[in-house]
Amino acid sequence: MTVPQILYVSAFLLILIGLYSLLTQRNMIRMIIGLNIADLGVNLFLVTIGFVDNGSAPIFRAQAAAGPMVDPVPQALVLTSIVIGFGVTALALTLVMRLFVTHGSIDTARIRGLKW
Amino acid sequence: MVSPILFIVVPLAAAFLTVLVNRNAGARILALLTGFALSALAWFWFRADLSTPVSVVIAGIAPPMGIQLSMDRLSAALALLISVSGFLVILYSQSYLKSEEAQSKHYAVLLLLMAASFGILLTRDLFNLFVFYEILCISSYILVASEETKASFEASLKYLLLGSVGSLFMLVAIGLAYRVSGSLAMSDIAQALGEADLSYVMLTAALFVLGMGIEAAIFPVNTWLPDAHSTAPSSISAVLSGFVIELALIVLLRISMTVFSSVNLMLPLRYMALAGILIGELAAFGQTELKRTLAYSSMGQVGLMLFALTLGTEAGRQAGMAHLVMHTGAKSILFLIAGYFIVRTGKRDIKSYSGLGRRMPLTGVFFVIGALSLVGVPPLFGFFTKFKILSAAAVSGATGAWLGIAVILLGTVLEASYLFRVVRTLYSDPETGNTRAVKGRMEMDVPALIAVFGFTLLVIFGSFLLPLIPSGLAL
Repeated sequence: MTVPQILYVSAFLLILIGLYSLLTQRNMIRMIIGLNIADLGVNLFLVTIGFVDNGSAPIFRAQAAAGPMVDPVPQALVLTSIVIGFGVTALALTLVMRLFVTHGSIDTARIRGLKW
Repeated sequence: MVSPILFIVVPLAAAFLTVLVNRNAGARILALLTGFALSALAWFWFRADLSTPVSVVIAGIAPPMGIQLSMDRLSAALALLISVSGFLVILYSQSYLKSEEAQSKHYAVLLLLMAASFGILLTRDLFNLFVFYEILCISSYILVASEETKASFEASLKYLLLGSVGSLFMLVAIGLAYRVSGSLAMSDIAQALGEADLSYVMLTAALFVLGMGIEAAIFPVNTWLPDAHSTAPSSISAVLSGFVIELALIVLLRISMTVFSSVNLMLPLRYMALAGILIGELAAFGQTELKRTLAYSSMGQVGLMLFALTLGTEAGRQAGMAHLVMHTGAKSILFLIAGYFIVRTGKRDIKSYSGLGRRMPLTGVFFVIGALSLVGVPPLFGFFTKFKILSAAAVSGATGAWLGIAVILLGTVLEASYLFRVVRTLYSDPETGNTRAVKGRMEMDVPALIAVFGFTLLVIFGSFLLPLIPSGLAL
């Protein structure tokens, strides 16, 4: 397998693992970790899209770099996506903390105020 | 010429200013002024000649590298709807929010939500759409939790988990689209996907529709809606049910019709819409809490709009857009009044509201008008929009159109029965034991009354707006 193929497969596996743990875990912190793993998979996928074999870092220099460069756009997207993921995780953990204060548990099976 | 970018800059700047001011009175006035300014701006754009869309390029970098915003007639009309209902909701919040709360944060997040709404409406860059979509989602999560009750934290977390999965899917779809087009501008992607392998486009489109569909509350991914919309503060329920889900729906449809035009998404979406109507209305019928009933009814109404918009005819799109405007008015009235019912009685279930209609005469009248319009009783706006949807479906000849008509009529019957049940309770004699010591009037406060009156005007005279409502879903 070539490098991008390995990366695509691992991105797909990461997304699957993340979604699986999101669906099967009852501990809310673990659910959020699952979400983070899936997020990681998507980020890996985006970086892989811009991957060029033997490409150099896309930095502007006075003399043009020899050889191909990797696509900088997906890397910029991934930076944004990481920041958004960080924000969402922080908010989710805050909510879990407040739920723990009000319900005394972080197990979704024990929190049954609404229908899940 | 006023630039459309002001729609994003003004509420964003106001949101940060509101946090800086950090005083309740200052924040309230600032939010109110921002809402008014946005409405004036939207009115200007609504009146402007937009037969050719006006586009701006951000920071002087031309697409495909830069981000393009574009204002067409549809965007202008929706921007007017968002800004006016945002303004009215801010007005309502002046008296609805408890004065001991930290109101500046609440207004700041509400303004952020409005900025993101304008953003997803105007942007023509797929990744920029994702960023605004995330801002919209995150500010909705915060607003849903802002009442800080047990149920609201739970609803917010549930919404957050589903929403994040949705945005994951959307990001993968954007990645797939970028992979074939090498650009993030919607027009380039549309062109590249037109030549791409059909199954590849189908995968991309399915991931995108699933992701965006979560915010638009399309049938299989709308389980967060009843919890989130019923536990949020009522002003926020009115915003979320009033324009956020509708806006997501329109953006979703615009993208699936233009960017993913090579696959036919209309048929599956139409059946999803019908399932949404059935499930939403049936579930609403079985609820005992007023706000939960209204939330489920929103689920059904979104299905109704989606059905009309996916008929594939001009008349269908027009009817769907008109129904969207009507729903914003009617559902906002009902949610805003439900908020005051909760404030005045301290209870959420319908049966404890018996006799309230007589003690809040004006409010009761507004509630009845909103309910009648939602059901579709003749002189009101709701009748015209529902009639237009049915007639558009009858002449469209689309697959499932007649099934759709049957489902819509069944939904209307259910809707009428549960809404009239509420109305009957409002005007029934209070049961013994349920009577409270408080006697006499307990009308809503003046700002709330004015806000609800504004929405009522829309619902009564909306039928005169019908020729002004655009229907073109172009890039």
